[in-house]
Order: sequence, then C-alpha cells, then structure tokens
Amino acid sequence: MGKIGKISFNPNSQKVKSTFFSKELIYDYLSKQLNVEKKELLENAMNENFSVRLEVKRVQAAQNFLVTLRNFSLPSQLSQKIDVPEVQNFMSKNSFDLKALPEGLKQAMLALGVVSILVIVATIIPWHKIRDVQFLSPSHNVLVVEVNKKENLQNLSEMEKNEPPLFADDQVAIAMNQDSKGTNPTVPEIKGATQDSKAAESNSQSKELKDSSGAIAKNQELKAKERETVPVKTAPSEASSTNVTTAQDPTSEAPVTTGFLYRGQMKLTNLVVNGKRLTEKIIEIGGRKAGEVDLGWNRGPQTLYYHFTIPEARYPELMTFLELYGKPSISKEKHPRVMPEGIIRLILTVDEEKQ
Amino acid sequence: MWTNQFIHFFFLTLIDEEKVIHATNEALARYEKLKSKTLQSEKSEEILFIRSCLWAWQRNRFQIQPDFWSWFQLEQERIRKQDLFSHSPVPLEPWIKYQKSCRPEEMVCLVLREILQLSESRIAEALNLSEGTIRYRISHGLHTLGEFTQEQGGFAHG
Repeated sequence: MGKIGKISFNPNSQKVKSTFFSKELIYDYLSKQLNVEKKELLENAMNENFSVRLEVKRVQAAQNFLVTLRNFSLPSQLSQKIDVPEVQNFMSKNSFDLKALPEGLKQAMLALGVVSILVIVATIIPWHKIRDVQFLSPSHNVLVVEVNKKENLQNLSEMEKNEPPLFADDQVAIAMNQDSKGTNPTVPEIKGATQDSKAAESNSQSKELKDSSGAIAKNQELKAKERETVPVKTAPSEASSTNVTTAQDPTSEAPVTTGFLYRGQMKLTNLVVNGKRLTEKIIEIGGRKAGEVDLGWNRGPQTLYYHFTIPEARYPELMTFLELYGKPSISKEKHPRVMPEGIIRLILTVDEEKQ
Repeated sequence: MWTNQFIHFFFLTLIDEEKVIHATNEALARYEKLKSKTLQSEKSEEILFIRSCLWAWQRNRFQIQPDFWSWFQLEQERIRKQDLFSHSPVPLEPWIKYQKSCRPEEMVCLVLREILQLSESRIAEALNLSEGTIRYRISHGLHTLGEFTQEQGGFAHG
C-alpha cells in the first residue's frame, strides 16, 4: 500500500468516475493533453456510457465547424471600408471623447450638471437679503382689513359687560323690582316713584344714577311748563300723518341742544317666547343695552324691561315689529343727555297680556 | 498585419457589418496606441491584439434601442440580407444561434483559440486569468456550439 504522508491508499483500486467528470475531460482528450490514466478512464466511460460518446461527437462536430469558419474568406468590401485616415483621426483624438459615450450616460451627466447648478444657486445666493431689499419707498405698505360686524357685536357684548353703563336705568324700575312685584309702572307712577326715591339717592352706587335721579327731581317742578309730550300712539292701524310723522320720524325733528328719550309700553301674549323674539330683533337692528341691565331684563314675573339704543334709521323697523305683537305706546321725552347723531335711546316696558 | 484578424474576430462576435467596421477601426487605433507605449515583441503584440479586441468589442457589443424586441427582429432581417453571408460557403446559422445564446466570455475565448489560433497562455495572460479557466471556457463553448451544429447536421467528425 502506498502512503502520502499519513494517508494510506490502494493504487490498484478502481475508482468509478461520474459522467460529469468524464465530459470535462473530452476537450483535453481531443486536444491530446490528457495523461494516460485519465485517457483510459475516459475511454472506458465512452465504452460504457452512451451520453459520453454523444458528447464527444458534439465537441468534434463543433471543432470541425470552427475549422471551416477559420478558412472563411471575408468579403473584400469589409477590408476596403477600413479607413486608414479614420484610424489616424481616431488616434489623434483625445482618449476621452464625449460623443463616443453612450446616450444614456450623456443624459445622466447633463442632468447631474443641471441639478448641481441648481443646488449651488439655491445655497450660495442669499435669498433672505434679496427678500428684505425694498425697491419701493417704505410708505407704500397697504393693509387690507375686513371688518366682521358679527364678531364685533359679539365682542362688544362681552366688552359691554365690563364697561360701565352709558346711561342710568330707571332707578324707579330697579327699586320697584326690589320692593314690589306684579305692578305695571306707568309714567305718572314712575314720576311719583322718583319723588319717593330721593331718600335713596344718597345710597345709590353709581354717579349716573344719582345724576339721573337728581335731574328727575329738579324737573318735577318744571314738568308742566317745560316738558313736551308727543301724542301717544295706540292703534297701529291709525296711520294718521301727524302721529306717524311725529312718532315715527324722529329724524325729521330739528337738532336740539337737549336730548330725547323714548319711553314705551306694550303688552305681549306669551311673554317668555315673544320676549326673546323682541330681544333678538332689537339686537338684529343694531340695538345695544344702554343701562346696567341686559335687554329683556325680568323686572317682574310678568314684566320685561328694555333700555337700549338703536340707530334712528331702524326705528320704523322696530315699530313695525312691535305692531305685529301688540299695540306699543311710545312717547318722546326731553332728556338732558344728548345722544350721538343718528342714535336714539328707548326704554320699553313689556307686560304680559292676560288672554 | 493584424487587420484581417481584427475583422475576423469582430465578424464572428458582432455579426453586424457596420459594427464590424467601426469596431475594427477602433481596435486598430487602440492597438497602435498601446503599441507605442510598450516594448515591441512578438509576445507583446499578441497580448496587445487580444486586449484591443476585447476593448473594442465591449464598446460595440451593446446598442440601446427603444422597443428592443422589434429592433431585434429588424436587425435579424437586416443581417440575413447582408452580402456577408451570401459569400459564406458555410451556413452561419449555427454560429449565429450560438452567438445569441452563449456566454460572451466563452465565445471570445473560443474565437481567439479555435479561429485565430492564439495560444492559451497568451490568452490567459492578456485576460489576466489562469489557463485552466481559459480551457474550461473553451470546453464549455464547444459543448454548447456542438448542440447547434448537430441540429444543423453535416458536421460529424470524419
């Protein structure tokens, strides 16, 4: 037994070669580069295995075909088209020829160049400085502001809560609410109440209340002479020109140094529901509360009190609305407080009408 | 000296007449350029020839075209109509089929060894490969080509 190092082997043993191994030896066999052992192995495989023989034939056929191709005579037109000057020009050109590059590579390089230029332009140029440069004079800035009336009204309603009342509510009305309930104050009763409330004047909290009560007290003596009352409007269907003009056209009166106050009274059915509608209508036409109390303040269980200001132009609209629900009686009184032009002040007392 | 060999190589590897002419011109120029930079010897000339062939073959073997399949069919028709094949005493269809389906590196080694009869050692040195690799590629190329020649018939050994 032979030995190679520590590995012992039997040289006389016959090793079985696979077909794959045999096929790999075919080219060496045909080119006569195989040693004796492998040659015998292949020949034995050829004798025993048909696929090996077939493969040998294939390789031989391929080699014969290639021999014929070797002797293939090329057409002369090809050699004539090999232009020597072109070859020389090709040699003289720079090894790096852009035109010789594939089209896709050229387009990729072009795109890369464009992108790099854009990136450089975007990063290097100080755009924020260019934006701040004022080419025009600085006084040409124009602000466009849109006024939202609804929001303003809402805001005003919130502000009004914090602002002190512009005018004093009927002190009598407040006092009556505290003392009695269910009574329907009228103008004469209010007058009497103002007289009785003189003692309470010193205890009033706001200066405006004091002023108003003092003014009322002073006017008691002069009422018969100085007070000018407007005819009461009882029937809305009676559209007498004088009454209508005097009651519904406050704007026709000449401006006077003293102000005016519109006092009104009416009766409503279903006071809870209709009272809310009246409140909403007053707000809709631009009415704002003029005193401390809110619009539609419950002076009593069956009485609502409205002290508010509205634009003069909306007064007919208010009257039209009131006539839908009842018969308002409104009188115009002189008052020391002068309202702004175009604004009128009203005190409206609404009682529930018993059906 | 090497012009016919260049033409022969590119004719069998590229098939197309225009490509053959263009590749031959490029390969010749490349050969002259490399030759001017290296020492002249028979050994080096063969190596330069092989490297120039491969360089020009790589540059011309692909051609990106839109709608590849329609272009391929048109190319096949155009090649069949070329005069090159009319002069061939041997039907080249087995070789064209082989050229379309084989591995490119096997085809190159086959052409260099069996057609141009360059030595395996020169080929291995030019391609920076071992001789065993070259022999394996040639052997496998012959096996593949043998399938197409057997289909064609008439090339049994004898």
